[in-house]
Amino acid sequence: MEIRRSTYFVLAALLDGPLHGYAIIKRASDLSGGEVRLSTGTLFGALDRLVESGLVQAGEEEKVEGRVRRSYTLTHEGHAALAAEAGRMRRAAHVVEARVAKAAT
Amino acid sequence: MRRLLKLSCRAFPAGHRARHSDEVVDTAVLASRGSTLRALREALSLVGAGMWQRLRSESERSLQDGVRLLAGVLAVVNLAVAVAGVILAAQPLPVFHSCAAISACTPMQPFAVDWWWIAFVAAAAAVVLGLALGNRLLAAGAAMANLGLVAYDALFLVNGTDWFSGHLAVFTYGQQLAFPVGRHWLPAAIVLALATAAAPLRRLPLTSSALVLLAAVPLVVLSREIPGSFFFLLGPLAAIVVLAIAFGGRAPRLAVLALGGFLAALQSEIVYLAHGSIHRDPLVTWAVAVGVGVGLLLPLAQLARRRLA
Repeated sequence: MEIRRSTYFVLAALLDGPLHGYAIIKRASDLSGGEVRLSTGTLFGALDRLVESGLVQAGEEEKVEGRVRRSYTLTHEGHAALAAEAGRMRRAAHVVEARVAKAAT
Repeated sequence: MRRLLKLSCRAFPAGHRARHSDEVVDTAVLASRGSTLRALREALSLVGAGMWQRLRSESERSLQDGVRLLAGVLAVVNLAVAVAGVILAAQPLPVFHSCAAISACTPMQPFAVDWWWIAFVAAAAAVVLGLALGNRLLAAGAAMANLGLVAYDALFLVNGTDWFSGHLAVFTYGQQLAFPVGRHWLPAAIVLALATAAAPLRRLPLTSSALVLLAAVPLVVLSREIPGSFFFLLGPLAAIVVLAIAFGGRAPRLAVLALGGFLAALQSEIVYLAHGSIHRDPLVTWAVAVGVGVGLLLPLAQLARRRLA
């Protein structure tokens, strides 16, 4: 199963531990070097799908400094799917890099 | 800003958590970082995500939900036709007659607000009310009364040789581009009666009912602006066909609606293609023919695919 770029970075943002919505947006932006700028609609659309497919687990709502937030945690299935996607991209990149290097020599 | 973002969450379907979630709004407020422009971007993204969710949830709806939607849409259009007709009968559009002098020109108005119009408006309003309340007895009974009235007009009052006989001829009176519509509302009344009898009904919230009724207003206004026949219904009908083409595969309700709309407009389509209007344009005729073909075949294909799946 191929994972979309924005979804890939949402999953990657959760690798270091549970995060709430806005923290995921910031972490995904940092991890992608500012390339992935998730809007709230995109983030929650992705989170809904990931929770539905069991790759992410949603925690209970809590109120912090007057704001409602909820933490999201990567599940074992989520870890496995992310690792599989990273491996797929590494192999895909290797195919091109190997040929580019060969052509350069 | 917060209010705008909260309003954007209304784009999500009723059962979706984002619609009532402060978590989503709070995240959007934080992501906006106090900038109005960013808040607008967040609001747009929420509307987009909400619409996408709506489309996703559409695929889970049954064909019976489509019949309910068809009954609702036809009931509102039927009410719009009744109200537009009674207004036209009471206050006709200006008709230009050739006469020797302006002073000799007397306004001709063969139509009047008689018992038939009053009963038609009452029956059409009762169908809408019955559907909004989820009351099958009221809705189906009124739809049958509506059908009886339209059938009485079409079968007994419309004279096949006279273009302007029957009550619904009020829509064509004095319009040069018109084609006779005396019997054209009969298929729509039949489809409405069948859909109302077959649809699984449920009570609508008051706000939804009011919004649905508001949709009839532009049709009534357009009936006075666009000359000739039921042309004021063509735009919405074309929009339904286009929507069904675009989303009917995912949203079976739209395919049912398009098919029902096609059947309701059947007589107008046949008459237009067979005889055309006075100012018949071959290009328009071809476009209508293709539209009618696509409007029939595509929803059927989409529904058949769903049944097979």
